[in-house]
Amino acid sequence: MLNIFIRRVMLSIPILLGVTVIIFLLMTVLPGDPATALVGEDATPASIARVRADLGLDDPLPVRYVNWLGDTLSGDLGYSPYRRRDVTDLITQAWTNTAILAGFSALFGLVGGVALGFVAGIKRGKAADKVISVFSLTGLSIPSFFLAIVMLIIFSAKLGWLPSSGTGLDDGTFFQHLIMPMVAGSLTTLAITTRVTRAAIIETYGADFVQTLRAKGLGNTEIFRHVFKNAISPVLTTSGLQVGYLLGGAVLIETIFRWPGMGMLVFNAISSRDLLVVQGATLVIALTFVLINLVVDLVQATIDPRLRRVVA
Amino acid sequence: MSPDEPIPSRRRVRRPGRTSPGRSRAWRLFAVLIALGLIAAACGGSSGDSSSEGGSADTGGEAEGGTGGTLRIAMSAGNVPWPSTPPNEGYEGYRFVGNNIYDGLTRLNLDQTEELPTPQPSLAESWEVNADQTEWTFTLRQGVTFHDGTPFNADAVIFQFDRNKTPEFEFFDKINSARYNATFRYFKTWEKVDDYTVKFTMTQPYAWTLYDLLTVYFPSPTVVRAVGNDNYNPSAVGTGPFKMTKYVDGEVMELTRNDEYWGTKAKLDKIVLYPQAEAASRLAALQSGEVEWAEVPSPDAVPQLEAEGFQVMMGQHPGAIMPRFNEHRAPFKDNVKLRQALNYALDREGTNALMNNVGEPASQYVYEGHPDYVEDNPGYSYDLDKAKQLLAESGFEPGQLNLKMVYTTGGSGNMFPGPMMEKLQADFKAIGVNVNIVPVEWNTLITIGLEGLDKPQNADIDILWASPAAGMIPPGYNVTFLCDRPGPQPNAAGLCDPVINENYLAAMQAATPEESHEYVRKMMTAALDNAHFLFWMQDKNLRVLAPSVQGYHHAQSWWVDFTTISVDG
Repeated sequence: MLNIFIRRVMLSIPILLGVTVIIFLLMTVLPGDPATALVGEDATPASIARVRADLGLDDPLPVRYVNWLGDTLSGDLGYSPYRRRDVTDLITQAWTNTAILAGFSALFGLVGGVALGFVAGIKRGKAADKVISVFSLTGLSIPSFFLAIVMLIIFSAKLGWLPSSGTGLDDGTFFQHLIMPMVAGSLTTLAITTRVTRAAIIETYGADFVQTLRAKGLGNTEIFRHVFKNAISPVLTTSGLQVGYLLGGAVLIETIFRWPGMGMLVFNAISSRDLLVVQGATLVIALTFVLINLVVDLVQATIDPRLRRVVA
Repeated sequence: MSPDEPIPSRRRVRRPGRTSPGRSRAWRLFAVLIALGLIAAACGGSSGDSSSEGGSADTGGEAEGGTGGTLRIAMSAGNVPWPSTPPNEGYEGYRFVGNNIYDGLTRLNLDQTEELPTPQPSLAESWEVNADQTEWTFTLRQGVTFHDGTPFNADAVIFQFDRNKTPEFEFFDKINSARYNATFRYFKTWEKVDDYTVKFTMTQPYAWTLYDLLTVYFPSPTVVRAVGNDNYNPSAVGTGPFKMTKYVDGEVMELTRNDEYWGTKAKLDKIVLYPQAEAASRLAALQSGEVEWAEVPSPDAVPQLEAEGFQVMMGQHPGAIMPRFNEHRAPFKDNVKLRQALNYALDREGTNALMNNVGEPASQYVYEGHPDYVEDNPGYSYDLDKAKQLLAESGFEPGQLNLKMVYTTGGSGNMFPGPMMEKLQADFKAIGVNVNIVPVEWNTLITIGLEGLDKPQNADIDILWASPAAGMIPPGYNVTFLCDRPGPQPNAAGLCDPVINENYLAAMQAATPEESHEYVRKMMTAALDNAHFLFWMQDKNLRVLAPSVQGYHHAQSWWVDFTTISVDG
């Protein structure tokens, strides 16, 4: 297991470097100038030039990248002149908010999806399966921003039951604030998990070893335990991707519900050409994604010994 | 309806965020929400009925012992504006943050709606100017203190000027001085005459010093010295009618009434600012009673909001959509008839109707009633025959012209670019002019404007979207009308008209405001006759307030006087 861990960590290094290089290049080819974005339309060419020089934007691209990488490796993600704050502070604040939302969204989407998928798989072809299948297909088809706005109109504007925005973390109303962004943001996760779980359950129940177990006279509960262990592997794989996606911050959901997380941070940073924030935040998102998938791989390998060889 | 007229509170809504049920209640609530919500909504459950239980829109004022309540605002900005000098997030930053935390030496009289606001004494009690308007001497108000107790005096004025104009100064602020460039550009020297007198020498005879001083805000030198420029924002301290008592970057700012304010004290106890870039979210926050003020809702929502008793505010406003022709090159350079043809082809009424009439068709650069509006000049009507005739006279056949127009997808003061641009495209198509409309984000549009349309990367742009604060303050015309802009800022669209130039330079040095406006009107006549802009739409500055908001004035400005406002409990 330690070997698997070391191997995956080593593999993640080029992935992370690749991500930062791509983002760095994309940001530099975007139209719009970071110095202009910072000082606004009333600035003169001379003052813009001074700010550009001060931000190091006149240096050649490779120099800028290497400088940034060197600082990052020494634990300094830099200073955002646009927000006048350390990038680390900005990312910590945003990541914490996103992690809270992502955690509850993952819980809702994954637990709900696994439960619905199991029911649908076990009740294959029956009414419950059909209802759940329609529900999961609908969930996959509805864009999250559309659902978010519909929920806003119904539960906030029309009925006044739920607050429209903010986190509520500072005034004890967190759960009321959580409900809409959690549901809207995790519907896709819920739907995907439902469908993957259902398919895995159906496939596993049809496997030869289940017939063998039945022939041996095992009860439904015992058989279910065996089926669960075998069926959960693909669910875990998609779960890792889903949790990584949620932890990346959903721009639209965070913007609509004014949830100040990673999505909003990166979106605003791109709009203002705040390069260091975009670079730092992207690196953290990529790192989170890699770590989540590493954890998932390790959990899978723990549950299913056959996978240890594959993962290794 | 007059802005001052109280509106009976016919819709009281519960603010969900105020109760504090436990986790179990929340989850029980969640379990029934979807089903009940859909049923209730489908049954047409009246929001008034369903929300009337549980109290009123919580303004918080009475609970905190104040008299004017708490005003919660959903801004259209993507973030809380910097409480810096100057703030960021465009004029929204000045409106909500700058003018509340700080004072300038002068301040606009925003407590009236009848006329264009003009600079009034603020931290300066009075001033004198020499004959050629190159030396301005200001007598400062005595007894004023910053929110931290630091006295305001000539040293504080000199400190802020050094901070923005003297690169060698220990507390020179590189970033903010660049952002303040336009404001400070005509100040040559600044000196302390005595503790309460300062004298400015200008770079040239200059009549609009009082306007430039509106936004030269003064931070507490004590705070700047203590925390430095980079760490100033969380500690921002001014002399204004409100003190910053909470600032969470990206989330919220809370301003509390300054009880020691030297002028008329604010009625409100607090102002709470939320950045809410998404229009649907701002609307939901207003309708659910979470905020009492929402900036720029979707025009589609206006009839509904009016029916629900909200105060929908619109009026004469110095903001407009006035795209600029690329006069650096053909086909618009030296081709007045083509520029006029396109102006006649614009169906302004139709465009306005698409937006539920939240604008006003622009006959000139400024709205009718503005001191710079030229009487007896009707501008350009919607006249397709005339447009086609002028197009032919300009040397182009229908179908021959293929133009590229770049516009922004959003940003403060840009009205509703998407539907407007589609209508423009159809309008021009009707006379045989094809327009390729290219959306860019706000930052890119600003960059294009700063680089200029004569630069290789922008040279293929024929028309550039522009949303000037048209006529709010006369120095604002600077970057749009002059041949050689101070700074020197580039002449973005290549507009250089000798009549405009001559009159604008004369207006800058005029002896009286009336004389100044007279010159500007001559400038406007030339701009209109020569069709230097697509005179398109005046923005009426759409904003919605809850019925409980009183004392609001929809001033002819991008800014608002918050000291007169209160919120009924």
